[in-house]
Amino acid sequence: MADILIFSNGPAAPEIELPTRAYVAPDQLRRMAFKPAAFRRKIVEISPSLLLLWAGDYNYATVFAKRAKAFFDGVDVNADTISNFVRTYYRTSANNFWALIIPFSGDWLCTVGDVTHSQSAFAEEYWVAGTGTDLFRQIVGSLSPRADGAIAPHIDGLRLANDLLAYEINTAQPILSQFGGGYEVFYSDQHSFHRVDDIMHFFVLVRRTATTNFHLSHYSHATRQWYEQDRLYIASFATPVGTEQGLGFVALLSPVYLTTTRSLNRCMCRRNI
Amino acid sequence: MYVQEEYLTRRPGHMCIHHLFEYDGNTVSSTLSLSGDKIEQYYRIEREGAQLHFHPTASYVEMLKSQWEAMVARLQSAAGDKLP
Repeated sequence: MADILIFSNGPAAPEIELPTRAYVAPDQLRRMAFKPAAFRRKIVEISPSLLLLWAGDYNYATVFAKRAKAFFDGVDVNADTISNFVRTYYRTSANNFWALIIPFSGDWLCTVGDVTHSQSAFAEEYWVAGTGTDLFRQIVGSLSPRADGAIAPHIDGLRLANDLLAYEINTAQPILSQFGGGYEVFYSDQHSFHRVDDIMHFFVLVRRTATTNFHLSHYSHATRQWYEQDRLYIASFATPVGTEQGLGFVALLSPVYLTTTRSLNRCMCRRNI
Repeated sequence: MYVQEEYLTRRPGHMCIHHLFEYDGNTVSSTLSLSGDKIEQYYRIEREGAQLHFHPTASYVEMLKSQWEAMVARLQSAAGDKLP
C-alpha cells in the first residue's frame, strides 16, 4: 500500500484540500519545513507481475519510474534483471528518496535507500520507507490481527488504510509526518498483483444513549476511490453534516511516468452521501 | 472533468467503516471492512435522484452491539487489572 500526498519546501505551497477534510492548524502548517503540495500516485504498475513503490522526492521518482518502465519493457522480471536495474541506476542512494521494487514471483523484494524492515502481530513481516516510517510503525504495531484468522490481504490492507485515514482526521499526525491524504492498496493472488478498486471510507462516532440504542455521528466527509485505466480517482463527498461546508471534489492522479499529470481537478459533485 | 453520476450512485466494491466508540471517557476504535454482497448484509442502499443513502440494517446494529460489549468488557477488565 502507499499514500498519495507529496510535500514541497517551496515558498508558496498551494493550499491542499484533503479528501478526508482533516484539519491541520495554520500555525502547525507554518512550522512545517515541507508542506502538502499535491496528490500523486506512489505505486507504479510496471506490469501485473512487477510493482514499484516510492517515497520522497517527486521529480526523482518520475525519473525512477520512467527508467523502470523503459528497462523492463519486454524484459523478464527476475532477480537478475532487477539487480541489474538497481546496479545500473541506483548503486548509491539519493537524499529524500526511497523505493521498493516488488516482483510477483518469489518471497523477496529489492529496496532503494534506507528502507525499514519490521514486523508486527497484525502485518507480520513488512517494509516501510519515507518520513512517516516511525508513525506508520507505531500505528501498525497497535493493530491486532483479525479474529477470524482467514487469509484476506485486501481486507487487511483496507483496514490499515481506513485506520490511517481516521488517524489523519482525528490527530493530523500523518500529515505532520508528511504522508496521508488517501491510500492505494494492492494484493497478490497465485497469478499476479491486483488493485483493490472502488472503495468507500466512512468515519463514525458511536455513543450509546440507552441500553439498546446507539447514537451514530458521521464525520462530515466520506471518500470513494476508484481506477479508470491507469488513473486513480478520489472523491470526497459531503455527508449531511458536511453539506454546509461546501461541495465535495474529485482528485485525479495519473501515474508518475506520464508527462501530463493533472493532480487535482474539481468537478461537479452535487450529491450527498 | 466530470464523473458520471450513474457510477457514483451504485454500490461500491468495498466499504470501510471506522467506528470510534466513546465510553466512560475512553475512546476505542474499530474498523469494519466489507466487500461485495457482504455490504448489503449491513447496509440497505437506496438511490434517490443524485443522492445515495446507506441505511444500517438490523445486522449492523447487532454487530455494533457485540463490538460495544466486547469493548466494555476489555475496558472493565483492564480497570480491574489495575486494582490493588
